[in-house]
Amino acid sequence: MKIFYLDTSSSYLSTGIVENDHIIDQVFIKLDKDLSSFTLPKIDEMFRKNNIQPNEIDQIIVVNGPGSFTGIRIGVTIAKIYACFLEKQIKTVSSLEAMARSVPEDQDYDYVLPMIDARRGYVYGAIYDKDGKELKKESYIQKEALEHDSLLENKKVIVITNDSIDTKYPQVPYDLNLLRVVEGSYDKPFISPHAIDANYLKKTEAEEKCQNSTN
Amino acid sequence: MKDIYILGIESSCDETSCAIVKNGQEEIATVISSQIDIHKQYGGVVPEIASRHHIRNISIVIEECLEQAHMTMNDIDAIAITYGPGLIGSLLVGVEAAKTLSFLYQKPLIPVHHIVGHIYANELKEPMHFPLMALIVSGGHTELVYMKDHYQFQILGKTLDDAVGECYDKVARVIGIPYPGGPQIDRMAKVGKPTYHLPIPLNDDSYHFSFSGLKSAVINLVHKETQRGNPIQKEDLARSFQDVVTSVIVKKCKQALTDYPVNTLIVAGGVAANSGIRNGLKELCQDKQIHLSCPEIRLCTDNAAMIASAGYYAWKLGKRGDLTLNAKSNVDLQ
Repeated sequence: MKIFYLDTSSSYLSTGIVENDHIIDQVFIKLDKDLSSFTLPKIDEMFRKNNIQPNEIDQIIVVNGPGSFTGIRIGVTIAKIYACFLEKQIKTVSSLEAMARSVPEDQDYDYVLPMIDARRGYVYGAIYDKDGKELKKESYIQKEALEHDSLLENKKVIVITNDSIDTKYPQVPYDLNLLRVVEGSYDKPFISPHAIDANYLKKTEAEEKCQNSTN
Repeated sequence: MKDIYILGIESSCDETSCAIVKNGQEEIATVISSQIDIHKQYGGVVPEIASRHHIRNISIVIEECLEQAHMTMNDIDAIAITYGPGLIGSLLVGVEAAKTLSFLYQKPLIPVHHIVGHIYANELKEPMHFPLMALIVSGGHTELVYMKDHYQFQILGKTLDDAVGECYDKVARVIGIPYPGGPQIDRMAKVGKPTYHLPIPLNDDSYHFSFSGLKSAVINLVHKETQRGNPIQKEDLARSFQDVVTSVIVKKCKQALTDYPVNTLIVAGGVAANSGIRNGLKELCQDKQIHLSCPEIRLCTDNAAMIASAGYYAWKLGKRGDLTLNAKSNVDLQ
């Protein structure tokens, strides 16, 4: 069974094809503002290089956020159109869960805090244990509030991030462990392609203002 | 000759749309998902909210269009996509969707300029005869374009500030009409009298337009009248405003039609549905003895059928995009 993985939730394109717990190919490249221009050409290149037709893929795993709003939309649009029109099974995975499952195996820790900088002292973050179980639900949260969460008391904690965030815990950079992320998604449900949506974890400013004015 | 079917996708503002057009002129199916009711509560289109809705709607809209046409992607010859100008986040969803379909089905990709799409909405009603003059009037654009042939655009004039539709919506807000106020002002103008004096903006010999001064004049007038304790006669103000807009548009068109003799004037864009402007241009064209062509009202606002039609002529001229195609918020007519 061939699985196509796609994550454009940051300034990086992270994509790969996995077959029966074996990585056929994997691409990780910093694209920044070129994410929209080069995500599909890079995917096309990966498929051609490995002589795989889009129709040979059985399943799609797409990272639907949180992260860069524009970035998330690029990956989610590609994945849902792919799944919808070639009738492929599709599931989503959180960028934070992918990070939590990618902590290097030589690290000694109890809990991991995956963090994405959301500016102005806020992060997108959550708390996971070593088995990738989500202990504190992912949220848009003040960095310090997450760091001081009572769950973390007397625990060995590490932070995984690719952003410049100062934290009170030791940090490891995020380097995707594709096989662990794919493995972690086995028991997740398939979703109808039309229902696949971005996971922003944050309302738009207009919605927040509107909500505040009605409260 | 083999029939050519173009699938068009449009998502430049707050409409997610997909259409299939045969040979550039025959509309097979058009699906439009409008977000107008969502943006009403914010008094205008909120770009981030628009992008978020496009992503929810895009696959449904394309699938529905193919179903209505009783076709599959394999029956499609090429995919036409609006790449700009427009709201960047909104455009991106359509562009990525079109590129994905091109990648999955190995179909040619045709980038279409949004304004070119509006012009080609007319092709779905009657074949265009060149040379012609095109007036594009919408919420984001006000342009006068001379065309010698397909895809030969000479921009004679454009707005120096606000687009005419934008001016309508802002004036509507000032007099307490909810977004989108343009159509409502048009309805009110029909029963009002032109009793308020407003200046004719950029009343010169150029082909350019300017509407921000007129908008400010309406705002000042409303303030002054309110301060004086005079209630605004909304219908009369709507009529006075619409008369000024119509007169300046007719004047600029008249100038252009005098300097560039053509047989047809095309009017396109959302404001082409405005009855005051339509009637003014109808009279002008009768005087000039030239043909006035307006798209069907439902194809005046943003839709993918016009993109598919424009895409057909681009396809015939060999214009192609590739998977590196990116959305552009600002791009000149080409």
